[in-house]
Amino acid sequence: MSSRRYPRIDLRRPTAVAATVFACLAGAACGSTEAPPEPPPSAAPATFAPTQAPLRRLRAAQYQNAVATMFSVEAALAATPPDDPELNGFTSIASAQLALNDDLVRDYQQSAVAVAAAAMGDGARIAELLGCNPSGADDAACMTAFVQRMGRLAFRRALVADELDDYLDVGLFAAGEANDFYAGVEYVIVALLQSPNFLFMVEVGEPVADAPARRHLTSDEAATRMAFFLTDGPPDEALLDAAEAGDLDTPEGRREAALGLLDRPEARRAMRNFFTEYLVLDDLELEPKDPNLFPEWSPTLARSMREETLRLLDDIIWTRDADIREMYTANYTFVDAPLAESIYGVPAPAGGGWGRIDVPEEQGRSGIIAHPSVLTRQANPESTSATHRGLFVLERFLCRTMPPPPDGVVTELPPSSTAPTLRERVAVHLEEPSCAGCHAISDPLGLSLENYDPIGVYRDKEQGEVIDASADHVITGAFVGAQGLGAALAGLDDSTLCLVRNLYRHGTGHVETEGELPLLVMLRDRMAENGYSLRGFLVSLVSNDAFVTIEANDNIADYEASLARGETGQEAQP
Amino acid sequence: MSRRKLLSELTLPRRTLLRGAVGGAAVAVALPPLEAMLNENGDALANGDPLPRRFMTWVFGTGCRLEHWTPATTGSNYELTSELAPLAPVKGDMTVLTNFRNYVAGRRGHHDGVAGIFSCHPFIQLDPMGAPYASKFGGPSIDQVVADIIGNDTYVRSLQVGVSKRHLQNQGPTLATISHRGPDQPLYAERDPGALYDQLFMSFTPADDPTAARRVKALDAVIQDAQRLKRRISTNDRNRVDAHLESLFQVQKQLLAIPPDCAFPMKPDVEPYMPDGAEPLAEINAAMAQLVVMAFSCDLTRVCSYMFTGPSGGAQFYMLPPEEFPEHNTNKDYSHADHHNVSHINLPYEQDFIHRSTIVSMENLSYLLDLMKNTDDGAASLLDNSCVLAASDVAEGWAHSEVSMPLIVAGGAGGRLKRDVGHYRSPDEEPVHNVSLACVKSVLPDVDDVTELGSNSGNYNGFTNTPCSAVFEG
Repeated sequence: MSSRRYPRIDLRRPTAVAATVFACLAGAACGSTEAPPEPPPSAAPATFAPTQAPLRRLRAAQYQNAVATMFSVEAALAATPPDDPELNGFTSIASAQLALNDDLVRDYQQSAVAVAAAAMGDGARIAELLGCNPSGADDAACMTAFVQRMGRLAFRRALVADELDDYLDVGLFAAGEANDFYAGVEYVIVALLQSPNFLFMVEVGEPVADAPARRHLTSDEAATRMAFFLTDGPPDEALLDAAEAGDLDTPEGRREAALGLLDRPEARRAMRNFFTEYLVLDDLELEPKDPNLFPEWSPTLARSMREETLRLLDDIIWTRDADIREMYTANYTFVDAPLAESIYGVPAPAGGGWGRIDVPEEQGRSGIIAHPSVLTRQANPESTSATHRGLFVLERFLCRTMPPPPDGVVTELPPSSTAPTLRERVAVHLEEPSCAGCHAISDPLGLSLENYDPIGVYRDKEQGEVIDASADHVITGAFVGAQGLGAALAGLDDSTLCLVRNLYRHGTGHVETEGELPLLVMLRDRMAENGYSLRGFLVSLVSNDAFVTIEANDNIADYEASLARGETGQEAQP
Repeated sequence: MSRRKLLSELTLPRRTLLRGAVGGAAVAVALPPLEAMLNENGDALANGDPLPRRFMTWVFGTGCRLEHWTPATTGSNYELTSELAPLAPVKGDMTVLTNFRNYVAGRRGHHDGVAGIFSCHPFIQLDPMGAPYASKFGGPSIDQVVADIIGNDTYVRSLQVGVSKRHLQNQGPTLATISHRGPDQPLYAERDPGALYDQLFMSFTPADDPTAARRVKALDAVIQDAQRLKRRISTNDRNRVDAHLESLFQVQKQLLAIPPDCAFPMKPDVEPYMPDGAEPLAEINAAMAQLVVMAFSCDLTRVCSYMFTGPSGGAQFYMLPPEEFPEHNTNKDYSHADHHNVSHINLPYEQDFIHRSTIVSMENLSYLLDLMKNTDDGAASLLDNSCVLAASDVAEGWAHSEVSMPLIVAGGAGGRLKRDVGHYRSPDEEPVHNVSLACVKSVLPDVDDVTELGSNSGNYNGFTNTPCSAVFEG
């Protein structure tokens, strides 16, 4: 990276990230990052500072996968968890901040009732969960066994005595009322699925010797954090058993468990969920396009576009375990008939379905940055947008944000009759000083993708004028077109760090703090030494001590003191 | 159109669903103000209590064209401008307020306006570490201030409805909804009329449902669980679990609620999208308006927020084809364009499109207000007993301007709102928050402050916490 043309940004200073771009443009001196000292492989960097772990509500996909793990795919299909809002780019960040309300609690109530009814339809699984033959509607011993087993799966830990009592109460009440043991089973499920201990990941941790401000996740909590991060699903009974046997207490144990989880198809699905959010591809079907200009635009085509991108990432990450930076540079992709015909202009895969193709060279595409999915999302209904596409590259691949346009700016782009190409039209951005500061950073990146129309079809001309896709940019230097942009991104340490930061945001439910950046820089460097394997990164993150270390919350000391004084009698394990 | 006829078009034959309490449990859900419950004149309840007042906030996104919005003269005899013309049927029931200023401003367009008008709190910026920008409301929105007090006696504490689904969802709760119980408790709008119908009219537990008591019992255990969980989590999380607990109690109460003795409407049947992908804005608006009016009329709720289009949203105005703009001699067709995108293009054709879209928004507001005006509520109309604050987040979208954003107060709030003002133009850029406060006071006379700014108020010159006397009768 000796050819870097811009000063390095000190990412350890949180406010520097956005601000430095402008400071650099203004010619100010920018700091440089000194490599942190190399720690032992599994140790957190000396400068790592953990953060508190707020309650994180299961995202809809996680809720459904939890239901599928506990019961069946049929029960998961009956589940109707509410949609996930998003904050700072990820639904998991919203899930760690926002509270429930009447509508959401009602949704969860209705979902719990539906799931329980569907679960009761699977007699074999219910019998398996029971492990006993009820002697009658009032068989308290059998109900107790069920509540213990079911509760452990739902809460991802053993129930405490009070919890056992309360849910047993529900089961015996319902069984007695209906004079049917299984009505009791059903309403135990209804109740457990509405508990905050099911709906939220609860991470309280346990004390760390000589570090009262820090705590380590309990074994169960570690299993839960790891399983939801890597598979968007809960720990199954085997993983909970392993955790409770102490297997996850060591980096080696977590490494083994992570490798096991990553071998599951659920891990691919979880990574697809991450990339769908990261690349803003959810609901691509609803992206409005002018049907007069783009009659081929349809929800079907949108779904194919998203699937194309996820298939390429599947191929890089899982099938080939290749250098993740190929996401910026790959010269091959996957198409189905709609994509082949409407977008790429190549023959549809023989035999239907999906096929791998080499991207036609003359289209100059390069990885996902020139995928129709991304290009379509970051465009207007009737036109392309250099600003949207440029901001997307800056924000998602380089972790730089821009301030909003100043108020009262007169955006008078010349009409297309006098300025046939977008480059000519947005040139006014650079003439007006109040615009140029930001648009000089966003627009060139977007203009380099002008060879692709609002639904990502290649074009070499706009209104008869040849498109100029060259760019000169403060971060990337000079380049031409999508391939130039892809090569530039692949060559920047910051793009890999930005990907890692986004994965961490998604996986932990918060934007990384200043105290966590040293960890991510270290793991990025290790990933570089390891052929840029994303799989390898996931394993090294989960194995690292930092992954199971949190900051103590402000009430835990008082709570544990009251426990020690015996004030909470029945909260001990049964 | 007579009131009776309109209602009968909306409703099925009256059916009686009144029944006793489930499992002997007490039920605290109010019945609608039926004639039997009213006094002889129909202007109060039989026990002398006034009829319930209803409160609504209504928003359309991204402002108007002031030159086509602002009436030339003030007073009750003002002439409706082209953008206000659709409101002619309710002209005598509303006040148009101009030259008010949003003093919670200057940080981020759209966020400033929607938070300022609808919560009177500066919003909270979340912009960490190069992650995408987002913000939250800084305090409860005024509809929730009201719902906290008058919402607890009804089946649903408050309704949140929306029409355009192309609202901005990726900049945090501030732009995603106008209803917030607090910074961490946004209440998102329902945009599917069928789902809203089910929530309002089909979710009552049938009288003979044997599972109701079991579901209540299950919630008892969950409530115990949540209270135990609170002991070992952070203070911030305790607040979140408290919100969860409040809602658990509310849902438990709903499980035991008796359906009101009220003629329920038919389930609306509106496709969410047109075949070409456009949203049927007017059709969804009509269905939503009818459901909200029925919910008010049956006293299922007394509070509603109504997001016609979102601040900075990408609504499409499919009904505005290019043929209607021959004077521009242009081939541009914005019938599928993103409303907010177009608003920032300060060229004649595009701004004319914004002008025309504002007319469409007012047609849809007019439909709602007219429906309220034509729905009986005792001896008066529903509009007579309601306060509706309709506004946009900016005055003109291209400039993010914060003075003279569209601002209309409609209804009588049972006599507490002035009805004969017409157009009032503030001589000195009064705070929009005085209008927000006046609206809250029209249903809750005892509330004197909706800003909660305390010592921060010095940062926002203009806060007076004086209810706008132009609309507030007292």
